[in-house]
Amino acid sequence: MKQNKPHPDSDAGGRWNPYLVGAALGVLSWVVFAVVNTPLGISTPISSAASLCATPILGSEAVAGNAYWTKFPFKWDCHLLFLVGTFLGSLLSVLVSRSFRLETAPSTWAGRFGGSPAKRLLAAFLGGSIIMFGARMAGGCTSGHGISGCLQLALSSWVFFLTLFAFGVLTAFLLFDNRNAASH
Amino acid sequence: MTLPITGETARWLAIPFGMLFGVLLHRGGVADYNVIVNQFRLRDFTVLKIMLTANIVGGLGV
Repeated sequence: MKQNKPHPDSDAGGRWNPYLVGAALGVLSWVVFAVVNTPLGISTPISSAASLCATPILGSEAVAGNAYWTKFPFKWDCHLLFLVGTFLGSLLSVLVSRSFRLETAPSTWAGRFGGSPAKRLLAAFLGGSIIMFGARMAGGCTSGHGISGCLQLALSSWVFFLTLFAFGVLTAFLLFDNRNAASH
Repeated sequence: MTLPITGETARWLAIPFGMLFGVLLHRGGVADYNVIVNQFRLRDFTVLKIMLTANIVGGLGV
């Protein structure tokens, strides 16, 4: 199968037109709003599932007494099933497009910070922690706020999205040397 | 709008909907580290193209 790569930095094969993907995501959000009656989003079930990891560390009493986990307890609701589906769907897509491979340091990262797996995994863990902390503070993530909230024209979501983008650009320009791009 | 599909059926339908979401994110390229980072470096506008189109199309129907 011939794979098209629209951008030289992209590692993924079998990419689809971004406007078609965006339109399909928009239509999917209609259907999910109508059928499951919930916005597209994946961060809440991750936070709820975190209570399972916290139980052996903090003890079940601390978890039961936690205000957030009382409000959003771990359960196999539509949000968690949607998250499971997202994992399965992307796995299927990767396998079908034959772009599956294990990778610790993506090319853009490796070009700037080197190929050390430990460094990359530590940074990814830290970054993931910060993202989840922010997503809980904001009550949504890139999908919950950035797509589902913005398309409902929620003011909080637009504030979230514009702030996310501005600080994302700032962070990227601070972390990456943009004069000598090693990515090409 | 709420369709007459409720309860258990709607809950389990979240899996195939999630799968579609996963396929779209992967095929769109936004599950790729390089694509995300290069969006913030203003070198690859895939993320913004997808999000803005999703917002426009999604917003028309919701």
